[in-house]
Amino acid sequence: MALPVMLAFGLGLWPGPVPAGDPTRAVAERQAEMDRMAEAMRVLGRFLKGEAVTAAEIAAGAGAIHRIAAGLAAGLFPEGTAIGVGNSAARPEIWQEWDLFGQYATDLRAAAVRLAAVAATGDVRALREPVVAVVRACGACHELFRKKP
Amino acid sequence: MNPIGRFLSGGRPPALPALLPVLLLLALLVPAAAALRAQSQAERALRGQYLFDAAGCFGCHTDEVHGGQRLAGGRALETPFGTFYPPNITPDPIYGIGNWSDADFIRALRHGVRADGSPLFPAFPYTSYTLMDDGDILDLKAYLMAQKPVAQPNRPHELKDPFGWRVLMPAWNLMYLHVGPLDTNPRQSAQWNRGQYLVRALGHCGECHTPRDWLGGLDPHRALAGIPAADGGEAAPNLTPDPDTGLGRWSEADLLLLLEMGLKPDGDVVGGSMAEVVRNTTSQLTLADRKAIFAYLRSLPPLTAAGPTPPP
Repeated sequence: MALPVMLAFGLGLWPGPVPAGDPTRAVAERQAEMDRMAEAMRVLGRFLKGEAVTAAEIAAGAGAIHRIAAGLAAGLFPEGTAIGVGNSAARPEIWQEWDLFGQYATDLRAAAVRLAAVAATGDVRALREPVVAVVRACGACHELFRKKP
Repeated sequence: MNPIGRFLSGGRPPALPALLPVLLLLALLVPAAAALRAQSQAERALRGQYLFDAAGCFGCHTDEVHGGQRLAGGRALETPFGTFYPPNITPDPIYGIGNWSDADFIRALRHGVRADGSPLFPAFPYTSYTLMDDGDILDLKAYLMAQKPVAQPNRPHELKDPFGWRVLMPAWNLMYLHVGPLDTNPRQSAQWNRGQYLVRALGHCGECHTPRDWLGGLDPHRALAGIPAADGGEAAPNLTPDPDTGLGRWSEADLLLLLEMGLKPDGDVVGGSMAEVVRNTTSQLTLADRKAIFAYLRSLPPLTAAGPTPPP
């Protein structure tokens, strides 16, 4: 299931949500993946706070974010994994507004691609704007679809 | 004595030619006064725009998710007491606040009373806005009055009894409303005082981050100590500088980044209503104001959280 979904996503298509085989396990796997996303975002945060971060570290982070963003449709958010399952913080609106959720996922993926491209140039001074774009892409989706905090 | 002087001393009215200089002067002064007032209102509105952002008016008074018109109200605010629908605050004279006087507007924010004299519910955070000073309240009003009027009627709240009984509000206010404005603390720096004003008055941070009792009043002994999620609602973290359960281990740069774009030190990004607060309010503040917020929060007595713990 995951491969055709990822292929569709790669072509710019946004497939429908897949059903969860084991919802509790799916929530745990999603959160583990989101923890890996947070690891990458922490590098971006250190950069934004003016700490010493190399363009190579940012490029690695952008790669991780891109990989995880591409997986958002491919099983990370199967149906039946909203708030109430495990310690899910995913609002049910994700599946009610699936196309909008897909738009946010596409935006994040595009922002990560751009960040990786700028990071590959090694020009740290040019990184702030694409880093901020990635952070804002996360925040836009979390505002609507993730329960605080 | 000239003809006007004689008239003022009880003499005959002056002839028209004698009045011409006065009429000419009036013809010049009246438009000049009107222009000055318009300029003053425009300046007030400009200052009011910043206060509007800092006070977070847009979020509650615009039903953004359903494509509602700006500031026309109607956004559902679900609480343990029922669902509130914030009103239209555009300058529409019938459905909005277009006919409110300065005194009406000050009374609403300072005392929680509508222009028709009926009490407001504290879902409108007048218990925080009461701490604003009159000048800021009127600047905010000038900004609202400069917005596009929208003829949209208000939707009645859907509240559980007895929380929907406005008649009880004066008693509630006696218990929980501490009428402002906020006093400056002369023992603290200007930055600290500004931070206090931003956190307690404009930003009304305590409305979400301070625990409430069963009547909905804020617990002053637990100010900003955070709240756990209840009834499916959102939790709010501890903002006091407790090192284990609060912001004690956050640097200034950590908090500035969170307020600017919602990114936490552990790489997580805020969600839900705090993401909205970051977008509409804290990201719109000046760097100096965000630093003032940090200075104030860092000075608070550390309290142990009852709610979620911010990341180290």
